[in-house]
Amino acid sequence: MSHNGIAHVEPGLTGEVVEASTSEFLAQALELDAAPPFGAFVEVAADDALTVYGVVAHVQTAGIDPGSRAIMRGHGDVRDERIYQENPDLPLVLRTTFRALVVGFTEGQEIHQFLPPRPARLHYSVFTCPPLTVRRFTREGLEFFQALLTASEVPNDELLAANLRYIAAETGEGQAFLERAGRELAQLLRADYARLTAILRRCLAPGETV
Amino acid sequence: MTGRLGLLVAGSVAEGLSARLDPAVPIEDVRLGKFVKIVGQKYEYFCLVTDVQLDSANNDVLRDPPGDPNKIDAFLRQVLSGTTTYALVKLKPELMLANLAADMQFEDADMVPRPARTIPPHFSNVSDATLADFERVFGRDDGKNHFQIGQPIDMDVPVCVDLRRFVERSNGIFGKSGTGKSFLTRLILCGVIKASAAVNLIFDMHSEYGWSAKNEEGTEVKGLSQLFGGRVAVYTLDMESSRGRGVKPAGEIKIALREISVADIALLQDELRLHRTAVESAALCEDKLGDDWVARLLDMNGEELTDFANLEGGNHASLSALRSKLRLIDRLPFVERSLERSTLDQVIAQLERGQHVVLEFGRQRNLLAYILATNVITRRLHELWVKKTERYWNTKDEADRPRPLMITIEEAHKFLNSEAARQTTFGTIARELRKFYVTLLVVDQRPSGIDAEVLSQIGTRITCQLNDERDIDAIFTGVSGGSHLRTVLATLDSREQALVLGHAVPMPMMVRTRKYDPLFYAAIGGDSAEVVLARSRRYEEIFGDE
Repeated sequence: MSHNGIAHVEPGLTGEVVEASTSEFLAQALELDAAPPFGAFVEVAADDALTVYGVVAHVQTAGIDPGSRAIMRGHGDVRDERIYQENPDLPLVLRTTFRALVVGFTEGQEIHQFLPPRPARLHYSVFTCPPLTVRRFTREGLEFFQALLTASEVPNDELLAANLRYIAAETGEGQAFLERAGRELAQLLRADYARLTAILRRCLAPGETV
Repeated sequence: MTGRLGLLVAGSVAEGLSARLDPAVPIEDVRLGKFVKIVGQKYEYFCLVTDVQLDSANNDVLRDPPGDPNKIDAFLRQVLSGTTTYALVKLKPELMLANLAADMQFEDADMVPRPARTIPPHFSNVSDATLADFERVFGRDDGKNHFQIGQPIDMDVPVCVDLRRFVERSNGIFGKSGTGKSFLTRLILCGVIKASAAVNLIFDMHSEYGWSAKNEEGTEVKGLSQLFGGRVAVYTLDMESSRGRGVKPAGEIKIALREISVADIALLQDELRLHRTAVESAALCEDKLGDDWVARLLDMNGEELTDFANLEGGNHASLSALRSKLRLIDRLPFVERSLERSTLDQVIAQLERGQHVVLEFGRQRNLLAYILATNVITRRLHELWVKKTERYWNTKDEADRPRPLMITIEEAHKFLNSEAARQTTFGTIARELRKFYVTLLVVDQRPSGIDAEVLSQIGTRITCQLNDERDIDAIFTGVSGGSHLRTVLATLDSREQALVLGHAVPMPMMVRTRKYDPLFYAAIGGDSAEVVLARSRRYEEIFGDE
């Protein structure tokens, strides 16, 4: 049993849908602090061949009971990891959740980069997308950038930059992908040059070779 | 789609079209004068690139360009190029032709290239023209009607001129000295002779067309007579010089004084620095003294001249001045007091038989000699051809139809400047067009010196590099859309490049001129370079090579 109560069996399994809507879903991570990285691709498969893809847009760890807030537990030398050792009940009262923006879905063989007809099903498993799926999804097109750029209540630019870095690393396409994505983004943000450069600068560490 | 360059985004028939270059196409590969195709829904359009521009979708980029040499800016530049910053190509639609891929019925008129009178719709594909496109527009070098004059600047496909149309009108080859006018002329003459499109008379001022000449690198190149054997006869005004260069002329040309008329004198006004009254005096002499007027005037002593002036009402001073100027003509080595038989008749007979004649001037390359000889001969030929044509008009018998005659003259502005053009045979020929089956091939480095009316009648203009604004203006006299072509002309290299426009080509085209080398000799002779060489060796065996 994991701390969050689900048997950790399948590879890539990372959480369970606890809130779902057409444009996003909220999932609880299997383990405390074990949410997929910000900007990562996750997928939720339904029974009827519909798989919804999301990009992790927000990760939060807080008390399980919405009414109760975490309080300080450290004292004396007890800090950081020792707090968890001294309070074995913590994983039972805390939980890590992550919010994913829906960026597309597959129905049958086809990949679509727009919103699915039905949201992900509540309590279904959330998997981290394997690199092959990320590659297939991004090869199909980059129209999902629009969803990331316009979503509300998320740090859009940071999210997109994180997503680009994630894809570049995950697919192994690196620079070639960043260039392709940059061109797509340049089209989308043709009227906002400052925002375009801000995002692109975040994709590339200053010392990185081109 | 291979060869795609971009997408049509804006334009008008009057102002030309704008296409956005695809990000994958390097902007530096698109040069002025490039020949491109736009496929519309009904028609294919053939255009020339008249300008290439840098543009951007967002001016902020230009205000704050990613100019740092660091990696991030380098990446930004890479990403922006072709998307936010891109290249626009300005195109001038020249021709339209039926789009055979379109599922519709076309009239016959749509199957031949026509001037573009409309434009293709938004987002039509702009692509490189292919070999097939060139052949559709310019025809294929078939050794008869079409002759390859060169290749486009950036491709290796033939660009042809339509020789039948070429010889229908007077034509011009222009360019600064040293840009390859003579080579172009030789090339064109080869085409015309090979296709028997017209019989040629070439006034070869610098003795470079008939027999071999040296190119700018100092290599020997073949003359027409070496390439075409007996079909081209070389005559000379200076036997000694011709022999000295190893030429075997068919004859030496002498001009008798009685073959000189007032019109010839009028043309020499500049060269002889004649007073304005001199032509009137000459006319008076011809009137009163008959065909031998030059000789008789020259022979008069002071007293006889005074008597003649008094008797006929001429101005003594003017007559006397004329006489002293005529002595300059009399002193020309090829001018004789009298001849038993006119050597000109021999040349004319040769031309009538359809043989081509190159007339070498040898050391007589001063303008006085050149203008005099060319005018005397051309005047005779023109009179003869007018007679032939009139006979043909009467009989309507195809056998009587005169052979088209093409006369090549150099330093043409001397014959065709606005003053001379009105009085000389050359002016008449240039204006009359093909009516009498005589046309000019004008070779000149100062087209601005040629009369505007004559220029506007020039059918096909082949222009090498020109720098003088007035000369460039002159080239585009009577050409619509000239302003687009000016920029193209201005970018010609100083060697082996030319702009061809006019009657013999469906649209203006910038070309790398065809190489005049053994490969060309072989193509033009219909046999290999070795055979040509062997033939010239055999010629030397038979006639010696003194």
